[in-house]
Amino acid sequence: MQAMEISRTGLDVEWRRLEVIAQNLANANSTQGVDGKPYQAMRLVSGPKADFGNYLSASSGPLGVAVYGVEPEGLPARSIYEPGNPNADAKGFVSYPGIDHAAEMTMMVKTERVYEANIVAMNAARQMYLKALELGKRS
Amino acid sequence: MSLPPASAIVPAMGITPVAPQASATTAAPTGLSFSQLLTNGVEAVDQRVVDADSLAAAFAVNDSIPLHRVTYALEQARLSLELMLQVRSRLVEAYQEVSRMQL
Amino acid sequence: MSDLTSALVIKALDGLSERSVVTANNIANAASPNFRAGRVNFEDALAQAATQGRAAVSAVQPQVLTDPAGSDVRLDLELATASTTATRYAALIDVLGRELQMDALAITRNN
Repeated sequence: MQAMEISRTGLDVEWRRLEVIAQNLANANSTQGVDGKPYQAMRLVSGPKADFGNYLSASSGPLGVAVYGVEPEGLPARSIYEPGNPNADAKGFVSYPGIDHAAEMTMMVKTERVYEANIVAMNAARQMYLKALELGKRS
Repeated sequence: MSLPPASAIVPAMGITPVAPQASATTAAPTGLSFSQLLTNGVEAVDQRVVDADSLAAAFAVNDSIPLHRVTYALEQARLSLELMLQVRSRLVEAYQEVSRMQL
Repeated sequence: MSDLTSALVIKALDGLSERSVVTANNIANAASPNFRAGRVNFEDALAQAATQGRAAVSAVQPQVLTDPAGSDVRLDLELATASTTATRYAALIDVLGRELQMDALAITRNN
């Protein structure tokens, strides 16, 4: 059952990563973010889940993965020459979020694969668990 | 429901353990008497049952106990119990056969 | 099977049943507007009561909590919960069955 819980954390994290990627792609043409500043492409940062309660005790065993946070991708904004756009600056350039489309799509495919892998792992753990119930069963 | 301890089943056989006779002449082999063997066996079975039971209780509370350990312990306890009951049946049969003998 | 063991296993089964009902409700209401998903907790209370004896175990009640308003129902996680709950339920039923079989041995063969 511990293995199933770990796979569950994997499902959770990859789902949220997909949400961040979807947000990036959806905002690829947004000229401004929520607070007026330009939209920043974000990246989900994840890592092994730490049990802070038992931090000082001996290893409490693997706990799966957790979201550490979201951080900006840090790509420079794209400047497109659109003098007719109301959001253009003095020189006629409009600033669009710096998003690497190819990288986002690649990441999306990877995320989906990891998600599927977690489901397979969860099913495998479940099969093993149920097998243990067959000990001593008279056929 | 509580399982009666395995030791409660055996006295129902009606066999009273025979005390080993203190024999000064024979070089008695350093071994266990038959009654001691029986008692040891019954206690061992009882211990297995109790251990399997507490493992099952621990499993009900804590899922990180590997399930195969629980099912294995329960199966071992069950087999020990069945073996002991078989032994008991055979002993009763033997006793009845002996008591039928005409002397 | 000791009284404590049977109480613990049956209480755990109670909690798991409750959880499967709440999870089914979450799944059915995944698209309902303003729906707040439910969670069932009993493991900690049961672990606590296990150290205090049979009476404490019998007094344990599964606790149903509601998620804060505005949080979405994660369908995949609810399905994962349904799966793990059903699996653990099967395991505990099997363990209970094996214990009952051993008790039955003592009754039927003790002639």
